[in-house]
Amino acid sequence: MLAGTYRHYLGSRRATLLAITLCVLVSFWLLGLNPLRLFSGNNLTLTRDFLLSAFQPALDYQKPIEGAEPFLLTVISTTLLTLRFALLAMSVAIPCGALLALLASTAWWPDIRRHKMLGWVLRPLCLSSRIIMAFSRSIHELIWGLLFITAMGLSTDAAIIAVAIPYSGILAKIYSEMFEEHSREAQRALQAIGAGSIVAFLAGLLPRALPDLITYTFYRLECAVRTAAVFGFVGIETIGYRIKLASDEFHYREIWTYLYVLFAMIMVIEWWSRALRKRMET
Amino acid sequence: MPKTSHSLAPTFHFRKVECRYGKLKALTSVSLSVERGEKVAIVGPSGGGKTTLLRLCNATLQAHSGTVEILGKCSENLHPRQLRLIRSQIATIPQDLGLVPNLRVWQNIVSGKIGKLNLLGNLRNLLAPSKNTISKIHSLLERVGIEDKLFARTAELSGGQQQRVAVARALFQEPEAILADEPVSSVDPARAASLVELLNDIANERGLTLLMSLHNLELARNHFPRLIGLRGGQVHLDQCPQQIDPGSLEALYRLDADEILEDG
Repeated sequence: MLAGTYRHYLGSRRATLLAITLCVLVSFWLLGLNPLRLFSGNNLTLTRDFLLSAFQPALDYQKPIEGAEPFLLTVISTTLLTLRFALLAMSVAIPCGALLALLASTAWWPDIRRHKMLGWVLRPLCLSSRIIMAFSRSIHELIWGLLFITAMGLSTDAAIIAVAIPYSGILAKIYSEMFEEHSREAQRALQAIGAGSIVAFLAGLLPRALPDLITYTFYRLECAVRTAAVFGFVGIETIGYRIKLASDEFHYREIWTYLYVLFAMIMVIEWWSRALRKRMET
Repeated sequence: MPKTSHSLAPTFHFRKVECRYGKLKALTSVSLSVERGEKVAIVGPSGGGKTTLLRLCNATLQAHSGTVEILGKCSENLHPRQLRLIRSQIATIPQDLGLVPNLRVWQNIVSGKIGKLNLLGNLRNLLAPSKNTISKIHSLLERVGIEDKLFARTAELSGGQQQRVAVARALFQEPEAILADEPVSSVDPARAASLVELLNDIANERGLTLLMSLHNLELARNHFPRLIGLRGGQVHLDQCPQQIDPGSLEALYRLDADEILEDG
C-alpha cells in the first residue's frame, strides 16, 4: 500500500514538472523568443564586439572630446551622483517605511481586549497604513517618475520622490512582516515581568529583528542604485545617462567601464551589509 | 538575609479558581496558598494545568471564576499600571527562557528591571548603563557562576549557561517570588540538578518564594519541601515529599485509556 502511495506521489510530481516545462516552452514560442538571433548576420558582429570590450574597459573617451573633463573624472562624478541619488531616496524611504510598518503592525499593540478604546484608534490606523502601503508600491517607480517629472519638470528631486514613494511602501511591507513573524518569546517574557507593550516590543522584539531589517534595507539600497541608473535613461544625470550616451555612439568599452563601476558599487553595499550583520551577531 | 514573612499575606492565594481555554477546562476549583519564602514544586502529567497555574501567578492569565491573590492583592480587574507593578514583583523564568539571542548577556540581564523603570530609564539601561549597574550584573553573574560571560553574545552560550543568564535576570529584578516553568527540560540531568539547586539556594539566601513546575519527579522530591500535583486541572496532591505514598504518585501520572489510544 505504501509503495502504491509513493508511486502516486512521484507520478503527480512528474506531471507537475512536465506541465511547467511545457508552459515555459509554449511561452517562448508565443513571445517569439529566439536566442539564436543574437548570433545571426550583423548582430553577431555587434554581440562579439560588445563581449570583447568587456576585457578592455575604457580608461579614456573612445573618441576624444575637446574641452570635456577627463573620462575617469566623469566616471567618478557620475558614480557619486548615482550613489547620492540612491542614498537620498533611501533616506526618505527608510523613516517613512518604518513609520508605516509600525502603524501596520500589531506586534507592539497592548491587549486590545482589555483596552477597547485603544482598539478603536489602532485598528483604523493599521488599515489605513496598509492601504497606503499597497497603493504606493502597486505603481512602479518609473511610472511615479513619469508623473512627477511631468508635474515638476526633469529634475533629480522629482526622480528621488518618485523612487522614495514605492520604496517606502515596499520597506513598510517587509518591515511589518518581519515584526509579525519574529519569535515573540522574549517580548512575552518581558511583559510577564511588568513591561508595557511598547517597551517589550522595543527591548524584546526589535533587537531580534534588527539584523534582518538591516540586511533587507541594504538590499533595497542596492535596488535604489540600480533604479538610479535606470533613471539616467530618462535624462537624470546618473550612470544610466552616461551608458545611454555611450551606447548611442556604440562606445562599448565606455559602457563596460560604467557597468563595472555599477557592479563594484553593488559589491561594496553587499560587503558593508554583511560586515554590519556579522558585527550584530558575533 | 531572609525576610520575616509570617505577618505578610501569602505570596499566592487561590480560592476555587477555574480557568478555561475556550471550552477546554485547564484548572477546576483549585484552592491553595503559597506562603512567603516557601519553595514549591508543581508536578503532574502534561496538560495537567502546571503552566496555567504559573500564568495565573504572574497575572498573564485571568481566572474565569474564583479569586487569585498575588502578594495580598486580587489580580482581577486591575488597572494596567497596577498589573505591571504586580508583575514587576514576580520574576518569571519561562520554559524557552525568553532571552534575546543577539543581545549581550548584560543587556538581557538589565532588562530584568524593565517593569520597574519608564521608557527612558529602560533605554538608558539598555544602551548606556551606569558603572554601578554593570558591576551589579557582574556580581549576579558571579553568583550564578558565569561571570566571564558578561559581554558575550547570548546566542554563543550553551543551553545551561543561558539558563543561568535567565536566573541572573530574575535576580536583577529583585523580586518577591520566582516562577520557573520547566526551566530544566532542555538540559542533561546533572545540569538540571545543579540549576534546581542554585535556584533553591538563591531563594533561601534572599527569602524568596520559589514556584517551579517540573517533569522530573526525582528532582522535585529531592529539592523541594512541598509538592503540588496537578492532574486534569485539579490538585491531586499537596504534600511534603516524605508523606506522599507511591500509590498517589502512580495515580497522578497514570495514562487514561483515551491517552493510550492517542499515543498508539
